[in-house]
Amino acid sequence: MNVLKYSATVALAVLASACTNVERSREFGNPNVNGKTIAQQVCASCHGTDGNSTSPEYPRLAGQQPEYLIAQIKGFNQHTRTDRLAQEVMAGMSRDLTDEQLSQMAVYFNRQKVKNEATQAGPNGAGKLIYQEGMPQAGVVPCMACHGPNAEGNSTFPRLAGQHQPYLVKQLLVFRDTHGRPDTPMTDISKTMTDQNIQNLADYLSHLQ
Amino acid sequence: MTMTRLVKTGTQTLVLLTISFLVHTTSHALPAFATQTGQNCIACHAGGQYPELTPYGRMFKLTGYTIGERALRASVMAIAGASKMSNPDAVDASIGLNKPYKNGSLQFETASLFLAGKVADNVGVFSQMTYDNLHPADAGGQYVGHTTMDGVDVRYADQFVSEKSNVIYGISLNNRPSIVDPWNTAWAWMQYVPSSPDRGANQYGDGGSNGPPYPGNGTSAAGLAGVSGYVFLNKAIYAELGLYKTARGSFKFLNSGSPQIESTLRITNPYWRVAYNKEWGAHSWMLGTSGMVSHQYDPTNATLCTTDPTCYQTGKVRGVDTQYQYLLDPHTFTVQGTYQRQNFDTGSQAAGIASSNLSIMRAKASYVYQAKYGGSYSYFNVPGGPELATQGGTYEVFYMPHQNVRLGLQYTAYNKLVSIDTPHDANTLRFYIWAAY
Repeated sequence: MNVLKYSATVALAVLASACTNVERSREFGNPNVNGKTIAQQVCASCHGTDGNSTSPEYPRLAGQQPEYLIAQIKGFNQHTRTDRLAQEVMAGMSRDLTDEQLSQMAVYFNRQKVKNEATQAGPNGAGKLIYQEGMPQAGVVPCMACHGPNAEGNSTFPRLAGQHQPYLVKQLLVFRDTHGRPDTPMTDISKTMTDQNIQNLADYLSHLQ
Repeated sequence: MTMTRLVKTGTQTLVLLTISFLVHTTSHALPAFATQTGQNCIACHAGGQYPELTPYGRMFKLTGYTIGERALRASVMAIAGASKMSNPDAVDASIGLNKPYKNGSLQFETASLFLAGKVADNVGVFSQMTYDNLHPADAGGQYVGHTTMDGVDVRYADQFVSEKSNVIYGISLNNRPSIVDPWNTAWAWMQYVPSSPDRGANQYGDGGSNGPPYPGNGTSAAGLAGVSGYVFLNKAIYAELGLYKTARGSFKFLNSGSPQIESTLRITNPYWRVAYNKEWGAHSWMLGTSGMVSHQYDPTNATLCTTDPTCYQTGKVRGVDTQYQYLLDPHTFTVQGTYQRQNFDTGSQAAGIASSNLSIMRAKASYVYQAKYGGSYSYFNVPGGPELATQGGTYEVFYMPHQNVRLGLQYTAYNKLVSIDTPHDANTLRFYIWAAY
C-alpha cells in the first residue's frame, strides 16, 4: 500500500473518531468543559499558561483578583467595556461561558504566581508618590486606598503589581480620554492626570512584585 | 475594451460591492473563523492584513482551527481592481501579454468561497475555492472565467499543557506543500493579498505566488494531495513532515480546476520544514528552513511517460525564511524574507528538458496603524526564464474603513524583466477593492 494512501486513511480515521475531547477542549459553548481547561487551552495563547503573558498587548492575569476577572469578562460580554480591543478580541470569546466556567478560570489564574522580570529595576519615585499619597492638589486620591498597600488588589479592584507597563498606561488613557470603561471611579480619578503622571505611575506599578 | 464589456464588468463590480455592503449592514456577517471565535480579524491577522498572522493567530491555526464554537461556515471574498501599465505596447511586443490586456479599466478579478470552521474538539477545516475572472486568454483571445480548488487544509490537532511545557501536534490532509505552515513566509503564503492573478495587471512575471516547490509547474503548487504531520514544542520549535502526490481518485476534488498534466507527480514526494520561534515582549521572531524533493512527469513527454515509471524530472528545493513582528496596539510592524534554491534534474529518461537551477528571493516590510492605515514595500527577485531574472519592488498603501473592506494602491517597479530591454515599461500602478464576508 503506498505511503500516501495509508497516511491519508489513518488521518481520516483519526478525524472521524475525534468528536469530543473535553479534557483538552477549546470549545466555548460546551458547559461540560472545565474553566481551567479553557484557561489553559485558549486564554493561555495570549495570557500565558501561568497567567504571565509575554506580550504587553495582553494583561498578566497571574494573581489577579477573581472578582475583578469575572466582572471584566462579563463586561466584555455585556458590552459595558467598550474599549476597542476589549470588543474586537474579548467580547466574542466570553459570549458562551457559564458562571461556573468563569469562576473556575478566575480561580485558576488567581492561583498562579506573578513572574515579573522587570523587578530588578528601581521603583519610580514619582509614581510611588502618586500611588501612596495621590495628587491632592489635582483631586487624585491615593491609589492604594482601593488597590491595597502593595497593589495586590481587592475584590473588584484589580491587582496592579507587576502588570505590564504599556498595558497600565493604555488602560489609564482609556479611563482618562475615552468612555470605553465607564463603570469605574477611575474616569473621575484619572481626568486630571498628565501623560507624565500616568507614565510614572505605570512604571512604578509594573516593577512591583 | 468594448462598451458592452465595460458596462458588464462595471455592473458586476457594482453588484458585488453593493451586496457586500448590504450584507454587512444588515446582519454583521463575518468570515467563518471570526464568527466561530467571535473575534475581529485583528485577533489573528497582524494589523488586520492578510495573510500575516499574530502569535495568537498562529496558535489558532496550529490547534487546528478549533478555538471557539463548533460550526462549519461559509464566507466569501472578492477583489476588483484597475491597473495601469507604463507602456503595455512595448512589453507586449517584447514578451507578450495576456490578451486582451485590460490596461486602466476596473475589473472584477477574483472571488473566493471559503468553507471553514471547527468540526469537532480536535478537528477543523480551512478550504478555499477561487473563481478567476481574468484567467489567461482562450484560443479566441478572450479572458475566460476559471474556478480552482485553491487551498484545503483539514486538520486534527491536540495540545498538551503543563506548568513546564506546551506541546501541540497535528495531522493535516491538504492540497499544497506549506499550506499548513503557521507563519506566512512559506511557499504557499508569502504574497500580497490581494494580488492580481493577471500577469499583465500586477507584478508581471511575479504573480502572487512563491515559485514552484516542484519543477515545471510555473508558479503554482496546486493540484496535489498530501498528508502532513507537525509538532510545535514550547512555542519555540516547529517541525513538519509531509508526503505529497498528485490528487487522484477519492482525493481528486483537491485538484479541481488544475491542469492535470502540469501537476502530476510520481511516487510519494516528501516536504519538510523546521523553524525556531521566539517571543519576547511585543516582539516575535522566526527563523526557518524547508525543502521538498519531487518527481514529476516531463509534461512535454506525457504520453511516453504514462507507461514508464522511471520517466520523471527530479526537483530539489531548499529554502530559508524569517519573520519579525512587533505588535502593540495601535502599531503593527512585520518584516518577512524568504530565499529558495531550486535544482532540477531531468534524468536520463526525460529527454528534451534541460536541467536548471533557479533562485527565488522575496522580502516584505509592512506597517499598519490602528488596523486601518497601512503601507508596505516588497522586493522580489524571481526566475523569469532559464537564466534571466525578474527583479523589482512593490510599494503599497492601503486603508481599511472596516475590517471587511480594504482599498489599496500598489506601484510595482521593475529593474529586470525577463528578456525585455526596458523593464520600466512594465511598471504598473494598481488600485484595488477587497471585501470579505
